[in-house]
Amino acid sequence: MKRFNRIATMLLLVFLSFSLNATNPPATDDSSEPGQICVTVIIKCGNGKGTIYNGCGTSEEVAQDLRDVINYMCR
Amino acid sequence: MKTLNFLLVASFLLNFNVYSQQKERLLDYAILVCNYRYTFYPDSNKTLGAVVSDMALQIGNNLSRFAEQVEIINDSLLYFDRFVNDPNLINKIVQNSINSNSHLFSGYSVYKNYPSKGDLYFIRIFSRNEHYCVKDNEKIIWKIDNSCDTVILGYRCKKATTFYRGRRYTAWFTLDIPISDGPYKFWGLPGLILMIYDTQNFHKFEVVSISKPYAGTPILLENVKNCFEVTPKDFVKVFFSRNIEFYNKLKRNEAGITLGKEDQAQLLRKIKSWNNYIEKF
Repeated sequence: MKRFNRIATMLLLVFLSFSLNATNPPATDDSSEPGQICVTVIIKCGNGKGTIYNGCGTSEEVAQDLRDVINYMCR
Repeated sequence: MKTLNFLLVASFLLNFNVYSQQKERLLDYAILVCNYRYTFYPDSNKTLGAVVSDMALQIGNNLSRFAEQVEIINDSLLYFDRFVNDPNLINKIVQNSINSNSHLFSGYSVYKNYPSKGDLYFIRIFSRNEHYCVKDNEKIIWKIDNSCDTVILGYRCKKATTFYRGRRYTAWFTLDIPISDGPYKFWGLPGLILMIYDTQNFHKFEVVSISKPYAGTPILLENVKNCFEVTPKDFVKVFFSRNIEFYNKLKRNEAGITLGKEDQAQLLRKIKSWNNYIEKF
């Protein structure tokens, strides 16, 4: 029974570790809180002047914010 | 022991749930990809000149997606990198977008036969908190003209006409590809629409290539959260009012970017002149 408990505990730890990785991706050096990144992007287009964007969030969130900023600035 | 068993099951279900949520975005696999050149005039006076956006229609066995080519690429990059928030990926996406010819007028996704067969679903993401969804099941009434035909990209095409959302259109479709689909919200003909334009030539979609993609090319649902469900008419209102809102945000320095006075004034002029959205009510 003790052996079973040990194996079960190990399995539980493996599962939990995977769960946490999946829901909270590892923070990068640039992050302000777990699962987020903070980026400074220089959008250079057209006349050559750069527009600076600062934002934090997941990659998807930052990409969604930047999408129209680029369209406004560059088209 | 019972608690341990319960935790094991709960943990497994949590993993399965995360996996399922991400898998839900993978709607289908593309069996055919049609690239279209979308040429349009953002202002009705045609003073700013024509703009071109490169679009793609991904056709799967069960549904299709029509969107800017760059968005389809960026969505795939983000999807396959979804568990790692990588600043380098953001730089890559920004470069892709800058180098593309994406435009505010064409930054949408149109899904046909989604969520169910016969449905048309339109999604527009303006920013992380501004997701708009439109269920648009208005049937287009086509008039097929059997006396006219032409050849586009080697495919024999027939002519059809319709009046849709304030504009009169001429479409050329091919029975050689018997798929009832086409660019933007246009479908309902017995073959694929290869070219469509309005009589004033403000908006024109023309096919530039048709190819079979490599196996496993995903058709992805845009990553929408808390979508505002609106009618097609209300969406157009939102589209225009949001342009003004964006400008005001810029002025208040809430858009995350800073501009000089001259650039701000130029941007306002540009935004004001963009009055010629494809749908008119």
